[in-house]
Amino acid sequence: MTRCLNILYFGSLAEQVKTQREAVELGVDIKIVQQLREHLSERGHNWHKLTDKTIKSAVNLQVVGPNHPLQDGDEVAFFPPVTGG
Amino acid sequence: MISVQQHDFDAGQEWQNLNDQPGVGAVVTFVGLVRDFSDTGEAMTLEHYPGMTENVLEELIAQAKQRWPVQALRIVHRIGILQPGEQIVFVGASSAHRKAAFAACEFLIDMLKTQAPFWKKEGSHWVAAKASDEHHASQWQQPAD
Repeated sequence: MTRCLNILYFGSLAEQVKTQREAVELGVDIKIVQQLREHLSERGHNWHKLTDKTIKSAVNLQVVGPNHPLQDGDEVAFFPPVTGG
Repeated sequence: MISVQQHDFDAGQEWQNLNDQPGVGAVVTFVGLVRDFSDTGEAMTLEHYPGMTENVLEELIAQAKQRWPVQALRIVHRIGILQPGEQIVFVGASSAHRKAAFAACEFLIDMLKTQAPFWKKEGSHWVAAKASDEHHASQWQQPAD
């Protein structure tokens, strides 16, 4: 069963992968955030940064860990450490 | 109460709003400004994650209200393109006595600097997160029950 996700990228990461948002269809083999990050990192060029430990993940507006499960319709975001204030 | 906005804020009016609460004996405020980071007159760009930014700031306000006896709390954070000298962020707290207002105000700015999804760019250079900011935020951690 394929699932569809919206993925957002922010900060320097968005510049490096030259993408701000995309819709992605996942196969059954990608069940958790870490697997998605590894899958995206295989695209080559700067996509390897997705496996950088300083990059954070959020699902549906909440920061999550690498083992967080992915469901159809989830909004996933990847971003570097925040620098507001 | 929080605002994420492009337009500038009136720090004096924000102070007045914090003061206009029953039982206020202390008002503490903080304003963060864009430092002069280059000689070439470059601007700062503030990116954010719409939706998550507001959630995080409201959650921090809720945490501060739980920890300290405050009358009112306020965060205003600007986004978009800002020039050196411009205001970036306002954090304020009012309470009956000063310790709660000082603590809540410092907690909010320390925590938003490591949790709220904003990213700063000075000219064409992305600002790196600082270890000192993580250190300040970690000092507010409470022991587990």
